[in-house]
Amino acid sequence: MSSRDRRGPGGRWAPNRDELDGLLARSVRDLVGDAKPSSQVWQRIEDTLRAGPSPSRQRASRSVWRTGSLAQALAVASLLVVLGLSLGPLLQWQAYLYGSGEQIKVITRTPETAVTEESVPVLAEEGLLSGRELLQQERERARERQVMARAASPSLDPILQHRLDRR
Amino acid sequence: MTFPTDDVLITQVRGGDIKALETLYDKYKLQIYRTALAVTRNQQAAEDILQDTFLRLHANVDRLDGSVPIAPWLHRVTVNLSYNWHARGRRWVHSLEGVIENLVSTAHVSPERQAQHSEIRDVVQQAINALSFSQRVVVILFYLNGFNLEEIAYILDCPVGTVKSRLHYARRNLRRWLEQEGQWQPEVAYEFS
Repeated sequence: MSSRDRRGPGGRWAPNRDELDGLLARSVRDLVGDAKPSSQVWQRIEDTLRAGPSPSRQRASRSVWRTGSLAQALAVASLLVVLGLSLGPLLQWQAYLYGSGEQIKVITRTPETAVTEESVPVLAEEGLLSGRELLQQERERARERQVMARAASPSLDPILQHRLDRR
Repeated sequence: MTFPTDDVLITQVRGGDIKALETLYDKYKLQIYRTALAVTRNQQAAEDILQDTFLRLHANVDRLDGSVPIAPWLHRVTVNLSYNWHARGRRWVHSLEGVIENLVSTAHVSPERQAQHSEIRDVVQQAINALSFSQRVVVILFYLNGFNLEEIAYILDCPVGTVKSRLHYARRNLRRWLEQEGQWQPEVAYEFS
């Protein structure tokens, strides 16, 4: 008698452990039976492979393309750097050839002297001294204006007269 | 039919030999197709998965280690593609019963045995259908393909303990289902070890 025919007291089928494994194995196999794929599947695979590069080849080509684009980007960046370095002298030549027009002023760099003045820190004492000098110069100008206003003799330059008086 | 070893065939495929790929296809197509069919229960989906599996084999042939059996790797791809198909919600499109009736051969079974066999088989298959995707895949790989726990762990990319756990719960769920259907007696309860 087959294990499949064995019935328990209540009419139930009573398999043991091995039978459960066997039952599951048979049932799963029955689930698919002797199913076979159609012959068109391989034909489709072959057509796909012959139609174009495989996914790996595509990946490989993409990888090469990415490397190529990286190289292109580096080349472009290098070119820009070289152009940037050579742009200053070129613009100077333009300034030399065409004069210092409005457009040239816009694209040329800030004169180094201005940068130097800005970059050198002004000490407090220097600031005070220059302030005094400015004040003194301003007083002198005011005095000169007064002298010029009171000048009686037009033959003598009032400013020269004033300086002679100071000495 | 005898086939060259996988190592030789993979080396030839790496060299661009499509005939070698066809030999690998002939060698493994039934395993792959039936696994995909058991998981998806859809013939068209199983054929698509079979096709994609071998296209992926061709695509990744450079990364394969020819010294180890290729079947677990192929089943890994198959299960992943089946999972994708399952996740896209195209499951249960076709009636399982209709598929089974077309597939199962009953030519050598007497009508009485056939009816009994059909009754038990249907109940067990309903129980398998009721399992979750992960449990069903483990059951199929274990009982249909005969993979051991370590191989299933590789295929599913999970620890062996997880495979044991899934198999244990799958069997428990199957047992409960059979109990409900009156096809199982509780005293023969079985624990997977």
